[in-house]
Formats: sequence, C-alpha cells, structure tokens
Amino acid sequence: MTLTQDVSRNVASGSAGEPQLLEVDHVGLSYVTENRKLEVIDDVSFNANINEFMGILAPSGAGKSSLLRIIAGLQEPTKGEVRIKGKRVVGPAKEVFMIFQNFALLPWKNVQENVELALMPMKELTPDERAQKALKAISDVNLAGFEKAFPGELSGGMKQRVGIARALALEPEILLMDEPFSSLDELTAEHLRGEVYSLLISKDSPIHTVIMVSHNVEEVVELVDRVLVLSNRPSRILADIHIDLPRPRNKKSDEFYRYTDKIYSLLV
Amino acid sequence: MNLLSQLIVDTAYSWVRMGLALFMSILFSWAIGITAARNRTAERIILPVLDVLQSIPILGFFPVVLVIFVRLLPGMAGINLAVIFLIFTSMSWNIAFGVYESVKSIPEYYLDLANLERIGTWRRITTLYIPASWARVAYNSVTSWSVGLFYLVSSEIFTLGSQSDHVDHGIGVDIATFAGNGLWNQYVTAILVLIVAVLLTRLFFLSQFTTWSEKFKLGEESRPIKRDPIYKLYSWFNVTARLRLFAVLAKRTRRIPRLNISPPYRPQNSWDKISRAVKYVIAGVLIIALGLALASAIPQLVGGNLGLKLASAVKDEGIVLEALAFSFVRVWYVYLIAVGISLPLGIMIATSRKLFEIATPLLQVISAIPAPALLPPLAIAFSALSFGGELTAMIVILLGMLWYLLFNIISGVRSIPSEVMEMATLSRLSRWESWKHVYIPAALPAFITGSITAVGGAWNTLIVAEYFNISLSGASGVPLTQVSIGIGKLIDIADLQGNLLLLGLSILTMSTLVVMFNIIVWRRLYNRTTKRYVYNR
Repeated sequence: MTLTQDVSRNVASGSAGEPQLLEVDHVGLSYVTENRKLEVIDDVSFNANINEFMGILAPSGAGKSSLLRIIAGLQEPTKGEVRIKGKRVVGPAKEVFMIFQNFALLPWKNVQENVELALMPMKELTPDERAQKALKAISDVNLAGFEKAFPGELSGGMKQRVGIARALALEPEILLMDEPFSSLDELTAEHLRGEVYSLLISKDSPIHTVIMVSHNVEEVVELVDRVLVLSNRPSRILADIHIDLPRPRNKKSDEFYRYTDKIYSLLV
Repeated sequence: MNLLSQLIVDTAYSWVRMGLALFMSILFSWAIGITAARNRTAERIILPVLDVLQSIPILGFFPVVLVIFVRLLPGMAGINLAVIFLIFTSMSWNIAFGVYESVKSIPEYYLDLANLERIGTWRRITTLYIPASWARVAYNSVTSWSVGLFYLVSSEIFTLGSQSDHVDHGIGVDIATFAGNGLWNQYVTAILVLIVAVLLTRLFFLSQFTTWSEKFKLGEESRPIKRDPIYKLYSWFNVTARLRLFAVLAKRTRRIPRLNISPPYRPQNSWDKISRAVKYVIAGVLIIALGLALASAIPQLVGGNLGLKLASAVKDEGIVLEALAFSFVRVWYVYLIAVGISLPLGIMIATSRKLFEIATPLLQVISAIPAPALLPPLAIAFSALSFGGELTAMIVILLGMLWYLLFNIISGVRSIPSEVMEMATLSRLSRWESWKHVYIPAALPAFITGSITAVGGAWNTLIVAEYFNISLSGASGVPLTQVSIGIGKLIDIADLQGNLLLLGLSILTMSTLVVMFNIIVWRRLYNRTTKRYVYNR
C-alpha cells in the first residue's frame, strides 16, 4: 500500500509528446454576487489516466459538482482550462457523458426511449442499430424486461441503472458521475456500487476514464483507484491518493480503515 | 395638466373598485375556505361549486347583475356595486381555494397543540387559520388582481353600451370614450396611465404584500424559486389554484399510481369513459330544458299563455344554439392561432438567456393592458373592411389568450430540472430533437393549465369582442363593431332590447357548454398530462 500525497506528481506525468486524454490545468471558479465575490474553486490541476476510476472527494458545497461541470464543458472556468486530447474544452465535448445524481430521465419516455435519446445524434446508426445498442446496454445493467416501463414506475435504484445504461450505450471515453448514489437509499446504493465498477471499467469497455464526485468517504475508498481530496471552499487539492486494495474490497479490513482514517483526518 | 389629473382621478376610482372587490374577496375566501377545510360536508359542496364558478363565463352574467343592482339601488351606487360585484366574483374563487388549501395543509402538530391548549373556534380562526393562510392569500391575490383588471375594464366599458347609465369615473370609461370620439392622443395617454398604474401596483403593493405574508408561513413548505424573474411575472397569470382545484377534484377519477410494473396504458374500458361523458351531456341537456321550462313559466305568473311562451322559448333556444356554435368555432380557431404563436415563442424565450432577459420586462409592460382596452381603435381601424368585426373580435380574443399561454409555457420549460437540460446538452441533441423530446413535453402540463385559463377567458372576452356599441350622448345607432353571429353578440343585443328570456337562455346555455367541456375534455387532458409529464424523481 502506498499513500501518495505529492500533488504535482500526476500533473507532470504526461508521457512525452502524446497528449493526455484529460488535463485539468489550474482551473479556478468564482462568482460575483451583488455584494461580494464568491470563490468556489481556488486552483485545481490534475491529469486523468487511462483505465482509471477516479474519485473527487470533498465536503458538501465545496464546488466539486462545479468542477465536474467544467470538465464536461457545461460551465466555463474563470481561471485556467481543461484539455481533452490536448484540445481546450469550450462547450460540451463529444468524448464526455455524465451520470446524474437525480438520474435526469425524461418521465414521458420509457426506459428504452430514454436510452435511445442519447444515441439520437449518432446519425451513422440506423434506428435498428440504435435500438440494438440500447437493448444491449439495458440488459447489461440487469434491466432486461423493463424496456417498456416508464421512469415513474421504477425504483430509485432502477432509475439509476437506466442512467448507467444510457452512459454505457453512448460509450463516452470520459464518464463523469455526479454523486450517483447519494439520492438512493443505503441498501440500494450498496448493491449498485457492487456492480458498477465491473460495468464501467473492463478490458473491452470503450470508457477510458471514470471520474466520480462524492462526499462519502467509504464509497470512494470502496470504488476508486485514485482519489483527489479537495478542501472546503475555495477548493484546492489536499491530497492525491492511490487506493491499492484488491477487488472486491473488504470494507471491514484494516487496510480499508487505514485509507478512510487517513482521508477523514485530511477533511477535518 | 388637466387631462392627466383627470386620468389619475379616474384611475383612482377604478382602483377603489378593485381594492374593495379584493377586500371582499379575501373576507369571503376566509369564510368559505376555512369552512370547506374544516367541515367534511361543506367541503363536498363547496369544492365543486368553486370549480363551476371558476369555469363559467361570469361576464355573461353582468347584464343581469347590472339590472338587478340598479333596480335595488338606483343611480350610480347600483352601477358601481354591480361592477365591484363582478370583479369580486372573478377574484374570489381563486383566493378561496388558496385559503382552503393552506388551512387543509396545516401540519397536524399545530392542531394537536390547539386541542391540548383547548383553544376555541374563534381563537383558532384568528390565531391559526388566518395567519396560516396569509401567504397563499397574498400569492393568489396577485393572480386575482390581473384577472380582476380584465373584468374592471370590461365592465366599465360594458356599462357604456348598456341600457342603464354608465359609471362616471373609471379608466375603462375614459379609454372607451376617448376612442369612441376619435381622441387618439388622449386614448394613448389613458392607456399609458393604466400601464403605469398596473406596474406601480405590482411593484409597491402586490410584491410587498407577498413579501410581508411570507413571515406567516408554517413549516417548510416549498415556494416557487424567487430568483427567476419569470416566476414573478408568471404569478400574475398563473392560476395555481385552478390547477390545484383540478387535482383535488380529479383524485376521484384518477387511478392510484402503480408500484408494480405493467404496460403503461392499460386500455380502460372505453364504455366507462363514454358513459361518463354521456352522463354529463344528459345532465347538461336537462339543465337547459329546466331553464327553458322556468324561463317560460316565470313570465306566466304575470300573464300570457304557457304553451305559447314555451314555444317561443324553444325557438329562442334554437337561436342561442346557433349563435353558440359560431362562437365555439371562433374561440377554437383563435386558440389554435394563439398556440401557434405562443408555443414556439415561449420555448424560444425560456431556453435563451438573452431573449429571456429582454422579453421579461417587455412582457411585464405589454401584459399590463387588458385586451378589451384595445378594442376601440382596432374596431375603428378595421371598420371599412367587410370582415372588420370578425377581425377585431379575433385580435381581441387572441390578445386575451396569448399571455396565459405564453407565461405558462415559459414557466413550464424553465421548470425543467437543470440536470435534464445538461443531459440534453451532453447528448448533443439537435435543436429540433430537444424541442420534440424535451421542451415541448416538459411544457405540456403548464400548457394545459394555460389553455384552460385562456379558453375560459376567451368565453368572457366574447361579450365585449363580438359586439360593441358605445352609446355616447344617447346616439346609439350603429354599433362600433360586431360579428355576423355569436353568443356574445346575442347576449349584448338581448340586454339592449331588454329581452330577459333570451338573455337568460343565452347565459345558461353558454355556461352549461363551458362547464361540460371543462369536465369532459380539460380535466381528462389535465389528468393525463400530470400523470406522466411531471418531474417527480
């Protein structure tokens, strides 16, 4: 087990010449409200590695969701820039998709239609291929048989499965997850966490990098390969920690506790 | 400046009428709303009655109300009271339902506390029910004010064309008189004064009222997001209470949401649906038949042959139905035009930050003008055309409808959760794809609510839009504008001729049609859309 706290290590680790998949370069964000300036993100820099499940952990309200939206190109940073494959992100990038905290499903479309909607802009697909892709993703998340059900008829856990299926079908190179388990009850969340890693990160998965934002320390240590711990507002990186634990991870093991203790001590 | 001071004085007269009507509405609402919320039997009677009241075209009753009030109280007092009464009826159901709902939703522990403390009925009303309902009273007063404004101007203008004397002072009277005499500078000044008065009232009275009432709120019930300026604007036009009342009344017919998985639309027994609609139609026909019998029987008390009277009543009913058919078509084709304009415009405004910032203040100002105030210049401009009357009616009805639809659509689209908007952006949907799959469906429930209000308003507008006769200095000859045939025109003419039988039948038949349409068509549509097209995670 190695604890890496050297923040600058990964920033500098770009292999010579070839552009990184994702570089976050001195990103800062501040708002000007009517009476004062609100600093949300101070200065954050990191690179994401291929085939890595990454976590961004911070206290509530620390601007981690904003950071995710800046990476997605949904929001512009006030300082610095984000590059995908060496190209500066301006507006939503085609390599990126997101899994949302509250699922972002359309209530007037059934499961299959919700998944297919995200595939619609892929004009190279015939309607038949689109349906096939959607059905495959739906069965991958164990929702086979629920294709024609509407979101209103599904439990929270099933809704988030649809959200995951939509992301799987779209096959983005970078998948962002915004507190994906925090609006589920604990039992459901636990169950879904157990499946999500193997769904997203596998040899034949086209998804290269997953970045999950969370405020739940156990959840992050259970799932990710590497975690960035952010400070409270304005956010800076407090630590960049690799979690070297075999999977599936035993939440009762001493090593697991060592990681969570370490992170808790950083946050307090 | 003489004109300006005259206009300000007259606006003050109008505003006193509005203020008195609002005051009466609030008192009435507390009485009715609290009773309905605390008494099961009263609830079962009051809710459906409120529902009918909110959907009938009350302006149609104005001629009758005017006659009754003037007979009871001759002169200015009677006319003024009639106007105030009309505004009161247009304002009160909305506030009454707000009171009902807030008293009904007082958290249980407050009532437990009241019971433990052995607080009596009267103190309960003054210390719990009234304070608990302040927030909704204020919020719904905002809507009621803009609804009332329409009736104020319409009724003031209407008294000009009626048999009885008209109100002396009133901004509506000024507007119509100036226009009728071709004094266009004065007319425009009057419209501007009206707009300023409306905006000042919103800014300094209604906004303060709502802010002040916030402190009486119990618990942590959620409020519309205040940051979004459209919510402020929307509240002048959104008839929240109508929507909620619908929801409450619809509970009986709505199926309980299923937890298990089954095909989304289980085909319902279609005979059930038909038979319910048929039931309502039969009820409607019975009401009209009863009306016919009564109408012919009451003059019988005075004298004449019952059979002959009945025959003439049936003949009159034929005239009424024909006129109603024409107006029905008129309302619906104008509605289609209004939808064609407001749906794309509303979505465009709601989805573009820039457009939204430009449009919001602009809409504030334009929407301050009640549609009937624009009738005279339109009528004169189109008077040379053979179809000028029809065109005038169309535009006035259209203007009445547009705001309800527009504000509801904008608000519906803007209530889409930000995550869903982000999802659509990240999915890189084309403009048309996002309209078709995201924006239009999301706007649907609000769109239906807006439609119910818009069409309901249109039936009222007909009374002034289809036929308008300014009888200035007794020179009532050729009306300023008129359509060839329509129920609004029929009501006006029956009133001018003093034909109470025809007047009564017209109002009764029109109201029956509108109420039936509400129950059979709108409520069903509303149920369908709220079941599927609403975000509730």
